[in-house]
Amino acid sequence: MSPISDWEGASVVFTFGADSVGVWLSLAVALGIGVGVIARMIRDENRTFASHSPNLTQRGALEGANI
Amino acid sequence: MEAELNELQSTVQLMSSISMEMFYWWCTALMVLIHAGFLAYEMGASRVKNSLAAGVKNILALAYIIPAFYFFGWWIYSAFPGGFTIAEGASAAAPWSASMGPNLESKGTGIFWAAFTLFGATTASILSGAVIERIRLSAFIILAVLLGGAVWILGGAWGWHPDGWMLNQLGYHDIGAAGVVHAVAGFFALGVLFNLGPRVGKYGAGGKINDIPPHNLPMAVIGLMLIIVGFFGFLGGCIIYNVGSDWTTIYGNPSNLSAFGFNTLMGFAGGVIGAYTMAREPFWMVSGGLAGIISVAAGLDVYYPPIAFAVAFAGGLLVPASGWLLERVGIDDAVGAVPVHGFAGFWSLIASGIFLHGYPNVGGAPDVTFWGQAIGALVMAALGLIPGYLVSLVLKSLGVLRVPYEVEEAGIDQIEIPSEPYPETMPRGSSQ
Repeated sequence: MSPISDWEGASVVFTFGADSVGVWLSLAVALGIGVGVIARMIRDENRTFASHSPNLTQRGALEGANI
Repeated sequence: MEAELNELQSTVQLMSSISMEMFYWWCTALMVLIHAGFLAYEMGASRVKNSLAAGVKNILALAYIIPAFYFFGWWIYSAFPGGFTIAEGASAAAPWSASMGPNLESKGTGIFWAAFTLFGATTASILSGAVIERIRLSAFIILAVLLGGAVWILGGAWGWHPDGWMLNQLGYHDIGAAGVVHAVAGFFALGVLFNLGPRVGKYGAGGKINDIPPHNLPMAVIGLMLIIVGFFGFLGGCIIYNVGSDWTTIYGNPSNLSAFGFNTLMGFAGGVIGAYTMAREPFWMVSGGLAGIISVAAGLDVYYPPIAFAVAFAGGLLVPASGWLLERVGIDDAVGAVPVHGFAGFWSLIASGIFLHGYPNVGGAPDVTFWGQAIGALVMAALGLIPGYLVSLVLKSLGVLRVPYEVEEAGIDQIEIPSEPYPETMPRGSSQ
């Protein structure tokens, strides 16, 4: 995972090195975590609202928007 | 002798670049105080039943903006100075490039990225306060990522970047981010508020306006003061520490921290006194101090300090007055984020157009003019308002923008947060 074999003259020292398969894979994983947690957040909110009162999510989150 | 001189020169160069990194490191640390302030401010401004939910929303926004700005925000700054077409060389700021991680030859990229990331997080916090007590957490995070990771930095590319079309066609001057950060974020929040609607109980029969007071006003006021402290880091991050030469603004014209020192403090003072004149209560007074700093931010480098004081005084008057006006037309901005950031940011650009008219730019960009600043103010307002309105409209039409009525009535903490703010004095279910 090291892009260098010697510190002498080294420039890019981050894991895998620039524009590498490892970097692309890490980027995909990090993006997946971010998006996945938002998706799970939406699912959990729907479940929580539904368990508070079964018809809440059906009745819509738009209620109260009375401008 | 020559070898010694060369060695001395390279040592000075090295020390200078290390000092530059240290300067922005501490500016970034100070900017974290902005978020500590927003956290206290929003939790204090909420009712007890929503205070922890307001905190969760604020903390999570900061955490989401950081990777978002890494994934695409920094690239947007390099990619779109000309408008909506991708500039050559923008891939150097893409997250897979050599400069976007530890690189021993790259002093500056990471520390500038960090400072800009905290600017972006500030925009998200501005939105956060306006929408407390009824927005769904997931909807807020989506909107915050859009604003803090993309929208404001598009304004930064247009109005801050050396190749930005606003600088090169309008002579746009906004050295303290009055438009780029504050107007964009404030008007984005306004666009969201149109679709989100007021808190239940804010308006009674016949349009009667009900006051929903903060559950902890002292905490909200202390939070505001923390934001003021953080602003010294924010404004420090707006000046350019050039290795081997003197300070400049982000536009390259010479400046120094002394100029910022004079006008930041005079702006704070003018804003507090202006808001006191209008409102006489601490919440608006400290908000007025913040609005005062924002009011002078665009021309912080050249204002004569008494002019900065007067401009900030006008900003301080404007903020409570416009806050009440918004309330009267049915916009429930729970913390005054739209007036403090949107309207004061807009005013900052107009005032700088009046008092900076005729100041030269460098590098061939046109002089600063009133019309250039006024058009710039409109562009920044539209850049915030349009995506804020449209994306929140989509979320609203999908039914995921706002918590259901019953949840809002019961309090979001009770439904979503597994802990209690004041368990000894207010057991779960008793708080309102």
